Amino acid sequence: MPGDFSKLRIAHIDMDAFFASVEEMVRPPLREHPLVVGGAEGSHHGVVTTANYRAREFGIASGMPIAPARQRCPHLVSIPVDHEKYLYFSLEVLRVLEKFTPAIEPTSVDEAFLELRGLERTWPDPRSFALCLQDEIREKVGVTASIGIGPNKMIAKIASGLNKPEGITVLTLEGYRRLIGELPLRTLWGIGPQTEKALTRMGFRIIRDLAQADPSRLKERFGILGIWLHASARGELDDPVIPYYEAHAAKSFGHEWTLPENLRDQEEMKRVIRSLAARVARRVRKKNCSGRTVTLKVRFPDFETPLRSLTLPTPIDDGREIACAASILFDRVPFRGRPVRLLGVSLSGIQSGRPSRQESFLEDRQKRIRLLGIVDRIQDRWGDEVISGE
Amino acid sequence: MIEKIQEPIEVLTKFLEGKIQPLRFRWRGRTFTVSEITGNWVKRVGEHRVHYFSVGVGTKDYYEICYEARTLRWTLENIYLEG
Repeated sequence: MPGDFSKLRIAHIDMDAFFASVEEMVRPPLREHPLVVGGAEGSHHGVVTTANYRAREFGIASGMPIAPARQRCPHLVSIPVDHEKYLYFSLEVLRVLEKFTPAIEPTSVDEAFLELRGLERTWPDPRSFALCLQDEIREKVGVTASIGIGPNKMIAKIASGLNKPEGITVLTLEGYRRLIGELPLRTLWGIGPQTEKALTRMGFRIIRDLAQADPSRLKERFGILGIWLHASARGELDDPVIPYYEAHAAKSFGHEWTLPENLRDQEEMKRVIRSLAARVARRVRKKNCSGRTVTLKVRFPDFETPLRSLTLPTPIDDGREIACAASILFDRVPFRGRPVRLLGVSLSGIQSGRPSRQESFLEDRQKRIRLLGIVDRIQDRWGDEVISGE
Repeated sequence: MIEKIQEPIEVLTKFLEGKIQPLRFRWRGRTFTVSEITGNWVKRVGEHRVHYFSVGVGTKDYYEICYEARTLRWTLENIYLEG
């Protein structure tokens, strides 16, 4: 039955227009105005990081420059960003969540996943749990949250976005599969503009097209990530909630780079990510192991450091595949127009041995494995800089 | 609109059970009685803490004041003027 804990194990907490809500809470008359957080007060420069729901009625959204936002809404109020303030209230929300369960994976300053397994002893059903959690956040912190509940992280995340603000949406696997006939590809967590373009070129338009596709066709085009995309569209992913206190404890291979200057160009960021992924892959192959979980770390100048992870169906050790997974994660990062000061890529879920050869049934894939072997031998002898296999 | 002020103020404050509660403040010769505290947050400057309060004074304007624990001084940071 819908609302049964046995099938609904994840909640996604998504704070409603968080930065704007905090500003409205501390200055209540702002609730009556279309409001954006971003840029300087009265200025036409800068980018909208958050728009309240009144401003959204004018088509104003995150990432939009302030000047066109003002053209759409001349009486728009803009408040400069105060990250330290939002971080403080974000930690207050986290404190509320901790009263309900220790299994919390914050994914940004305004979003978190909660593992619901075990809560059936305390709550009759997930909806009652979500209602109480929502009330507690409103009462203790003064801001509102929308909550999505689903069998896995991806479905819970889609659910939290279906009914905002202050919504509670329970989405079962069956419910999700009924819904995917209407949902554009972009709704899937991790499908950004480039992946969407590549999928559209292959003839996919909505999530259902992807769910019904031949997985080998996707694998041929996207490698192991094709399998991930297919499982994702079918709602069959089973990524665990990784509590924040365990996130760094897992054995992993990683590289990160503090950039010589803050970087705004996203294409340049992706080049850095590809280079980091290649280094990670090389170390993993050198130790004769492979891993299933790719994590991307991004640090902004205000030191907010979101981590994004993705667990693949099978282990990998190829820098190109790690970079491809990282590029999906890249589209999940809340940039909000900010430049970046550090990028990091890591591979965890480590197991000994190279990826299974059964996964390498495609001729191209076998060629690739041979190529990487040759590149590794050349690099062993002459150094990493002389050749790249990525 | 928000007007940046950043001027020192005198504040009648209640310190009780680890909590700080501004009750009344004087700025440019005028006294304002705090009618509500709509938000309280803390920022760190190095190892020191600065306690911020957004307070109402019975009008539609809201005042952001802060107390620096290191220097024991209050500052009026900014005013949100409605209308």
